[in-house]
Amino acid sequence: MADNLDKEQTTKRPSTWLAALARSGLGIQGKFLLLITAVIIAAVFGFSWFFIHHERTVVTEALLKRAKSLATNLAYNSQYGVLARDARGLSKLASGIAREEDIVYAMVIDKDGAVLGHSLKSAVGKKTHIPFEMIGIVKDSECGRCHKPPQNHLIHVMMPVETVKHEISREDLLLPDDEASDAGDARSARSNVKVERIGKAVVGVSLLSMERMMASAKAAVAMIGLGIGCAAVIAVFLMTKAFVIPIQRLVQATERIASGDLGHTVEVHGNDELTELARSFNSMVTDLRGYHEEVENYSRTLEDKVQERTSDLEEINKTLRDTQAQLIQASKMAAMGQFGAGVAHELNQPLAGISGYTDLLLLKMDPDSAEYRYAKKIEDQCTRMTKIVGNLRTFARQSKFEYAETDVNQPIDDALMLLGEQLRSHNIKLRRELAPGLPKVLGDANQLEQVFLNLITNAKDAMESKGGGTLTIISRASDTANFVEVLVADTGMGMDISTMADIFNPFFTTKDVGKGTGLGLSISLGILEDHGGRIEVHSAKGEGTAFRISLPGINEPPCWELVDCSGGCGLSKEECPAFKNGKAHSCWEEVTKRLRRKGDPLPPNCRVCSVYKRKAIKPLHECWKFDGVPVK
Amino acid sequence: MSGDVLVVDDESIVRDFFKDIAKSLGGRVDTAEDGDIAVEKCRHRHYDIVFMDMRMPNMNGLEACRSILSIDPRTKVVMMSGFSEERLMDEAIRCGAICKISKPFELRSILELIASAIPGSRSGGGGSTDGPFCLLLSL
Repeated sequence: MADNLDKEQTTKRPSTWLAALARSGLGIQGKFLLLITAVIIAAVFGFSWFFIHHERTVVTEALLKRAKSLATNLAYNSQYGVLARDARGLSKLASGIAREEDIVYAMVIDKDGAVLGHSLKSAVGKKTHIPFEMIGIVKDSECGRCHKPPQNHLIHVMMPVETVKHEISREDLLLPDDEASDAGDARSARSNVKVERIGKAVVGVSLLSMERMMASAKAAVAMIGLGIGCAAVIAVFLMTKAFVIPIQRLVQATERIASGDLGHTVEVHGNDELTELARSFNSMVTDLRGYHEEVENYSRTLEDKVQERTSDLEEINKTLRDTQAQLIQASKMAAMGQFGAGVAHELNQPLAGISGYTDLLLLKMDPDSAEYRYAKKIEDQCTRMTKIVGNLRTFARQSKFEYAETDVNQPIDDALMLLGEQLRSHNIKLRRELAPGLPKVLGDANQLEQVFLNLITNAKDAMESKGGGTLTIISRASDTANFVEVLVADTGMGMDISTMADIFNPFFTTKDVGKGTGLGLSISLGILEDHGGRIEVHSAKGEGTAFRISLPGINEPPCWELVDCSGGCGLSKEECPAFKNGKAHSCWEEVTKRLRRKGDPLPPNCRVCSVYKRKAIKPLHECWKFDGVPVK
Repeated sequence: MSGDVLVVDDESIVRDFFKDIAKSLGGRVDTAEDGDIAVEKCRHRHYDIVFMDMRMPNMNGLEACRSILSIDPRTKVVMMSGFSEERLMDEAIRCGAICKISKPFELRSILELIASAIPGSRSGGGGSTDGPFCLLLSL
């Protein structure tokens, strides 16, 4: 507001109409055009007026000069005519003068104003009332005093007709003295020659043709002025256009840029101030675009970063969920293990008694007697019970992983021992083909047993609803003898592809509530991966399911690394002898020996460091190729 | 030859089994219900072989084994276990126990252990020195 007022005050001073023009709604071109046109019109008008006025003065002066010389001429020639009062001669002279251009009339009058000769013969003899002393140029308006309207812009040029009087004899000439003195001429007095005015020659000049000429000159000047004015206006128009178009382009560009089109630039031609302005405008837009892109880039990378972090978090979350699932399973197993351990211990005591007394009985009996046979039956059952309790004991050690050279057939048999009765009671036939002399694998027998327990339990559950079936367990060495392959197949319900895709996910189960935890296969997969092995599933809906397991043999170079030694012995991967040998068992002893040999005390937290986790450092399919028999 | 064998177990069936083996063969064994009693008994006389359960109230088998060996280093201690206390068992072996057996055990292995532990029972070869356990073994 205050700013506006200031502006008004400052602009008011130079000129209010300029301020009004500035405030008007006209564009720059309009303002320019208006101003320049006004100036041109004023200039043309001024110039025309000056030109016409000057021309008129010059022409009038020339006309009057001519008229004057004609009148002088007439006066000179009329001397004798006047003296002789020769009307005819004077009229002839006058007529000759009047024939000249622009001369309306010519006449000679005598002292008394009587017309002695006139170009118009009828006027001869008439009397005029022009004062005799009136000499020179008399404008028509002077006549207007007596005559009515002034006619034809007449100018009357009057010249005296004089005669020279020589004073030879006053008497001879019969002229009064007083008249001679009236002439009052010093020259005449001195030389005794008197110039006497005896009449007047009058020439009437008309300004009409001059006026006509002026009128045509005015028209010409007006035409020229108009032409010049138009040309000037067009020139100004074009000139302002040349100014305004780049400015308009700049304005349009500004609007487009303001609306967000940063790719727009102004075309630049030439080398004047406006193109300079356009150039700096373009460079400003380029800078702006740069900044804009920078900001956009930044926000984009920010988005990417957020996305990256989100996916990282999701992955971590998944790992966490998996780990949690495994932890749940591990704690379950630990609880079951404790329970199993308690049962095993309690059962072992009476079992020791039964088995011991049976042995004692057998010692005392006659081997051929019926009693001996009975006691032998008891001994067989005791042996079986001992094995079952032993398995329970093995299972109880679940949470303690001990990697050792293991024959895969052993955990398979242990699992079958635990579940054999269940299979029989569910009318499931067992086809067991375990190849002898398999390559040893570096593994934890308890964990592997859990894998087979899970697979056999699943097979049993799948066949239960069909009222029975056949469980096939085959173990064999691979063709290269570096891998052990195990096939666990059932003739149960089978499953479709979408189910197959989910079975290794934690908490996925198709079993009834309370029957399955959904953890078995996920745990099994984890265990097999820890062993550097892999598991495959093949299934046909309604026909059955087969799992194929491959485990690397002890001679196969390990494709894992020791990432964490939970023993807390403080040794790095390079220092750990178990890792160096590619074996983890008996690590404890080696470490202790080494430390003791060096005379160092044992690290306070050092426990058996064979409890460790392995992580595949290469994708499994790169480590070894699966070359087992195709599963139908 | 009676009194050369001490059986330490909190389970009566195990103690009874050892007693009955001895009785049926005309011999006899001493028994103890826990480590304390066993150590006390070892203070008063020498046992050629001690069957020691690992898990017992008051004093466990490992401590009892150590104490007995410190009192009477000539005693042969056999550790018994009904459950996998392998660390303790290994430690006992390091401390001087001659071997470990897990329950339920076979009669034959026990008889062999006793025979190998009692002086002259087998290696002596003489008939006069044959104790009841040797007779049993000959069956």
